[in-house]
Order: sequence, then structure tokens, then C-alpha cells
Amino acid sequence: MAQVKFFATLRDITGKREMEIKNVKNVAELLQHLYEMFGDEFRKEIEERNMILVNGKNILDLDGYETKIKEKDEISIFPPAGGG
Amino acid sequence: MERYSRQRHLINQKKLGEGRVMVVGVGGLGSASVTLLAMAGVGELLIVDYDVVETSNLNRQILYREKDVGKMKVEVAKKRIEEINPHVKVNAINKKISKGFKIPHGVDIVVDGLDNFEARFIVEKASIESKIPYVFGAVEGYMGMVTFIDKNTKRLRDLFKNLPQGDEQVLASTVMLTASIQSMEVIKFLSDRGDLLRNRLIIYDGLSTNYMEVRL
Repeated sequence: MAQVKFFATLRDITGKREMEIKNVKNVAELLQHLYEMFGDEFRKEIEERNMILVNGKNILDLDGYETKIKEKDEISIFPPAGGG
Repeated sequence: MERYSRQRHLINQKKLGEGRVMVVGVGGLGSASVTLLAMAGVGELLIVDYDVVETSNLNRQILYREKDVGKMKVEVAKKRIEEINPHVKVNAINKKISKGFKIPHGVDIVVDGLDNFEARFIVEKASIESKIPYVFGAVEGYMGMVTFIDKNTKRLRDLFKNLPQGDEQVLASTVMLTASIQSMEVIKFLSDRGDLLRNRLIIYDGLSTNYMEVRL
């Protein structure tokens, strides 16, 4: 079972700070699962901009959306900040 | 100097006093950064902005007052900084960041006070070309992010796949906290203390009261 943590606006959309998830092989599958759970608002937010970390590492430095998810992994998802 | 007596054991005041810091953008983050850096006693602040003060700035841009609405930000900022610490030299540059932007000779470090990534990429490039560090900071909603970029670290394009569009919703509390981290990086860099945020991104989420450190 992996742990997914939501930050900022994603917390508002999902109404959750974190949740457990199982039976997903990679980040793409995880996102698909979350889109089904939390609907278009969540999908729109993720597709527009996102930063996804697996165990504190940016998936851009791993295998992107193909990054594998294993038992006990911690996935953090948030929108990057751009204002000043 | 008596003014700095309560920080004399914390930093090298002489080195800080010799430091020339460019702050690009004196909106939310920039206002807070220049205030903190002026109080700490940096030698010179070069402040860059092209905007005028608007009423909607006043919830988070601590240098400005209602009477300043309509005035050039850099001019008001210069006056306020000199009130805060008359020993700091302030160089106000009324300019929009655009392609070809260069960092003036002699600047030691650049602080991000910008509100869009297009300008950030320009300033980051100019800083790297001038071989000086750039302290990235950004805020949005309840979130703030900071990292220290130089020629040996990852760059902004390595961090963000989808470029965030600035959401205009932001609280002064988030801005101040983010700028505090940025200005601390500058103070440490100039006075040769501590560990810098090189290849580390600090993310603050006020909604969950969490800090995350992402190794880059």
C-alpha cells in the first residue's frame, strides 16, 4: 500500500490531506485512479500544472509518469507556485 | 555599530555591508526581501521594477501604503528602504525584465521577486552568465517555494514540467515567510555561514503547516 499526500488546492479539491492506495503500478495509473475518484476539477488542476514527488524525488528526475510505485512509497502531489 | 549589536555574533557584518544585492521585482516577495536585507545591513540594494503601486497590492506588499497608489514602485521602495536603514545604498532601476537583460557588474547575488516564469528564466540565465547565484522564490495561495540556483545546481526548467500560471490569490503571511527564507539565503551567502539551499527545494504549505525539502 502506498501513501498519497495532497497539498494546497489539491487538498481543497479532494477534501483529503492524504490517502492510501494500492494496485497501481506507476504514476500514470495512480493519476488515472485519482481522476476517477475526484473528477474533472482534479484532472484539470493536474493537467494544467503539477509537481509530483515519489519519496521526495521529482518524477522528472525519475521516469516521469512511468515512475514505478511500490509498497510503502510516499507520493506527494501539488501545484507549483508561480506568483510573487 | 549599535544598530547591529544584536546580530554581531550571528553574521559577518563587514562582509554583509560590502554585499551588493539585486532584487528583481519589488512586489510581494521583493518588498519583504528588501526590508529584511536592509534591516540586516547589506551594503547596496539594486531594486528593479516597472510597475506602479495598485490598491490590490496592499494586502501583501509591505513597503506600500494607500497614499502610494499610482506611484512608481521602485521610487516608493527606495524611499522606504532608506527610512528603514539609511546606511544602505539603494539603486532604483525602473525597468521591465525582458530578453537581453544583464546583471550590472559588481552584483554579488540576485533575489527573485518576480511574478512570472518568463521573466524568471531571463533573470536566471543572466545570473548564471554573470556567474552569480539566483535565489528563486515563488508563492501562490498558501504555498511558497525557495531554492538557491548557481552554475552547479539544477535550474528552473529542471524543476517544473508544466509552467505554473500565477494565481493572483496570495496572503501576506505566505509571502513574508517565503521572502524570509530567500533573504536568509542571501545573508548566509554574503557572510559565509551555514548551508545554502543548493539543489534543495523548500516547499511550504500553510494549509497543512508543512515544510517539505525536495532533493534536486
